[in-house]
Amino acid sequence: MLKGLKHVIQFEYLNVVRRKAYLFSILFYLAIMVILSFLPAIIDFFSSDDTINHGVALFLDETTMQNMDISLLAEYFPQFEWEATTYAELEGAITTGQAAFGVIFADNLIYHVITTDYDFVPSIQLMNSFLRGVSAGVANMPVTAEWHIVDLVQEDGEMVGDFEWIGPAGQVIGNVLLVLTLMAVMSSGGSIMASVMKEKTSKIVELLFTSAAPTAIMLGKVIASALVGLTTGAILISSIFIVSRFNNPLEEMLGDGYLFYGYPMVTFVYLAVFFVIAFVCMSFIYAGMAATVGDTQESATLATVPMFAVMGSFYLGLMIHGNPTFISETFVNVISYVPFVSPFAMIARLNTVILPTWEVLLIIGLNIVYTIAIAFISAKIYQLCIMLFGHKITIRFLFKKLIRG
Amino acid sequence: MLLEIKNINKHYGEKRVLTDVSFTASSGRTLGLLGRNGHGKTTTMKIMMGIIYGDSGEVLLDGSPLSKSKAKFGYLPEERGLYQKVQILEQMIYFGKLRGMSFAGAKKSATELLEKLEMTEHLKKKADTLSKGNQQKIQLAITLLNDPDIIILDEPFSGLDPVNAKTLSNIIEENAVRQKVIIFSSHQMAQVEEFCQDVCIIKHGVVKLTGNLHEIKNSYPRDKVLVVTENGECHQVQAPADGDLASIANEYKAKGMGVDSISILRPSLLEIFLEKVGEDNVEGA
Repeated sequence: MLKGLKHVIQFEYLNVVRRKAYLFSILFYLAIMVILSFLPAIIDFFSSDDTINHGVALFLDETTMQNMDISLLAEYFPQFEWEATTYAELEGAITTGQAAFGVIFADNLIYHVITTDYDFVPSIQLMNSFLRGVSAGVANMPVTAEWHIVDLVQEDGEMVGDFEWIGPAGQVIGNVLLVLTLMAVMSSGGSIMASVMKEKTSKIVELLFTSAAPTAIMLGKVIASALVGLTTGAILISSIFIVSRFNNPLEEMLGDGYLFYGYPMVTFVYLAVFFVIAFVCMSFIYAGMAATVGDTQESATLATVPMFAVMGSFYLGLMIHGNPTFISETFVNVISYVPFVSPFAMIARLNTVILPTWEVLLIIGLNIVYTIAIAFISAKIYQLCIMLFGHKITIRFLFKKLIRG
Repeated sequence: MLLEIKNINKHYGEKRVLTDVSFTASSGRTLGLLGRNGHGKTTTMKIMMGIIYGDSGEVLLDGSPLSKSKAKFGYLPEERGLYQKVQILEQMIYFGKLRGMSFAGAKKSATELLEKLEMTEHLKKKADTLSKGNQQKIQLAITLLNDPDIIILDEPFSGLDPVNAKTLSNIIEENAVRQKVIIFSSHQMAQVEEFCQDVCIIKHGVVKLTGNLHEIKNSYPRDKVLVVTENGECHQVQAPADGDLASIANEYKAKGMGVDSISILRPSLLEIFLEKVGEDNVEGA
């Protein structure tokens, strides 16, 4: 059934990566990555200098206090003065501006980071990296979803609410990742759609079908497209390493298994997986859709349907990422399991919280099942419709054939 | 090899496009598939190639269902398509590899075919830099790349200049000599008459006539004769009902004209075609 798959993948892949347009887009992405690499330095440069370098730590139980010695914080975070305190003192110190931030530990977990100072957030970003290190191994503390919850406290002492935040730099990176995913998904989907349409209208597909199985042709296109995405991703991540080497010593960057802006390696892997899932899923949908239409104008109209769904998923992702207070936790959890929306929701969630491994793996597994189902249906539609050039394809016809098939 | 198309039926939605289409083609012989535009020739070819499926009927090779594992196919679609931004040699190698050839084998075959088609200078060019005629030659080369056993050509002569048409003719003849099964559709009756030993005429998806072209012509009533007078004039006249050609010579003599020769005229393929599919709006005939 998949005779010729390897050759289709090779041809389609080289057909994209050798184009000048692709090389230009890589250079563009690299420029963005270079800017991102220097982002903390840029933000630090523009931030005010009157930040109080004073941190307070509150230990709510004895075990935590034993595990997390205040001197350890001072050792790992020497640019701040650390002091163990009570909750009332901590809140007072924060709201009166005596301390730039406070960290609350309990049950061997880092529960909260509290600050009133928005200018302080680059430092929080740095501290996040540190705290991840502390949580992961230094103090034998388990990493939890709640490690970097920041409670913003207004000047009048009223809590704005619990929301998860990793500071502007991290937020920008999260947003950029979401935008890059959206752009990659849309451009790849559009490119596959154009490729299928071109082969259909130019009748190359007739030559192809006498040479290889239709499923192999479609799968080859989608896999090649995913490989192009991975190549792009690999180039970008390599560029981060290279640029960061000049920005920060590499050993610091890789210290304790953490990579970039305090992102654990595993988070990067998860992000890459969800990126590929979103990519492949959309590619299948676009390839199937392109087979049903007769001209590029029609395809452009039809493309708006998944585009809206992608945009909707993207904005949901942004909302989750930007301010989860506005979205209930249950809703966020539910949409993480919904096909199509799931990869975007997960990319956003992974940027804001550290999720339990089992949940991430479960959602990855479900997404693989969704993708296989979408691939199967799209391949059927492709096979049915690609040769029906000039014939009207109705939803009834498709449905009937799919049920029969 | 004997390729049998048996009782193929096909609908597109409510529209019936083929009804019990049956004919045979054998190796070493060329079959001309004739019919007006939109009457089912291309659909028949696509079903034979397995590009689309018929609703019923079968395509058999030597008595068993035809499959890509049993024979190598070469198909030249009616509408020519190439990857416009890809080098000619590269896309030929791609198609060769898809058909199971090695890189080296595909490259060698592509180079030889392009040489035969006098296209060697275009090897490294992208398709969009070639003229339509040259693109068509490239497609023909792709069709023949894997030395197919069954060659199906949909309107192969359309758009070709006389020189290229002659090159194509030579290639078709050469492959027929090499015992390939060749089927091609055309509106050019002269070309079909020149190359095809067998014909199949389709009208509205129904086979109106099929078989050996020579036998078909012989089976037609010979009701016309060609009279060449002694001063070189040619006249086509009605043959006498009793077949006595001497009576025609006598008639001419009576009019004071000497007759050089009298021969029975066989119906042309065009005449047979027009009779079978109707004379109205025959394109290219």
